[in-house]
Amino acid sequence: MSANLKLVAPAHASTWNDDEIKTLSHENRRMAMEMVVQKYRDRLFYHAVYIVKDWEEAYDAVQEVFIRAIREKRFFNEDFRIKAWLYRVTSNLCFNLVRNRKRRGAILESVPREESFAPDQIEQVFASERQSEVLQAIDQMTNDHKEILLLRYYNDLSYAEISGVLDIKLGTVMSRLSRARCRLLEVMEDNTEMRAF
Amino acid sequence: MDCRTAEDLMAGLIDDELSPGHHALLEEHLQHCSACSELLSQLAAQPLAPPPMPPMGEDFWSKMDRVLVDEIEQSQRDVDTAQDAPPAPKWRPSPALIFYAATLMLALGWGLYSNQQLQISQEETSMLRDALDRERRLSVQPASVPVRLPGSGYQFANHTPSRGTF
Repeated sequence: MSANLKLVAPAHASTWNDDEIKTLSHENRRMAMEMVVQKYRDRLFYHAVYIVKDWEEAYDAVQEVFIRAIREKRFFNEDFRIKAWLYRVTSNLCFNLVRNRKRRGAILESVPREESFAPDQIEQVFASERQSEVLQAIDQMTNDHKEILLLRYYNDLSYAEISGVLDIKLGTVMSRLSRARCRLLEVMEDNTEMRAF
Repeated sequence: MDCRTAEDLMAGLIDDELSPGHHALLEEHLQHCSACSELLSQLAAQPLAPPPMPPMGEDFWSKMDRVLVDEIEQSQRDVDTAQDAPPAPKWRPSPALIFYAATLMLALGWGLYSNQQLQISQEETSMLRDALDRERRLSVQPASVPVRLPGSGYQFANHTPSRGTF
């Protein structure tokens, strides 16, 4: 029974570009949607993990993104930017989750938090000391800087793709990234001084 | 190029996303500005790379697969239903509705006509009242008019001018 419930798209979905998937959708929308899921869910999941730092919440966020994608009527339209839309919705959902968690934090501070279903995996991701330092510093930055750094350096999006995700000009992408990197340098220096102190 | 502009272009230089024109301008600035050169080398050395992710288990996505397959099938059913549904019949008003609509229109027309007539009659009444007031003002008599009295040379007498006197 579970075999019937598996998505049936071929495993090489990642080699298809979005335009090819759109063409496929004219004949078989279901298959095209499954290709999109197969192609993007790992990347979106990691993007969500970097933001929410919680395996389970990231998983739920990505699932919600794909449900919205399936319900989106324009998803396979000629001018619809699939990748930008998916990243934008994931970022928005995850930043909302973090914001809500911070609001709840004041109330639930004293209550011990329930363990996520895969704590070892999260620890493994942030295991390297240097990478952990960088991710910790990124976490201390504003959402604008955090998001653009994650999109560029952790999800490997080009400047043009980031421009589509954030709906800003290419020049703004470059200047915001530069300022984010300068800010990251300052935050990491501060953190190092704090640790030494 | 000033240092602020140079800073804004540094990420583009590191990520190889700079246009040839900006690239040349920035290189020229960096040759003369040691502070910007130092900053660029610090930025380029930042360890910005994603940490290796643990491999997902075989059943990692199975829960999501079930939810998404249900959602896709539901979406497909909605699309099929919309395509298979017969075209909506053209709406035609029933005779009773036409009768009620005609009656309503007649009543409305009669009401408007009556209202107009009422306004005309009110205007006419107003005009007649004004004319009557003018008539009354013209026919009013003065309280007294001095007349010659015996012995005094003057006497009071009523004076009633009649129409057509003037």
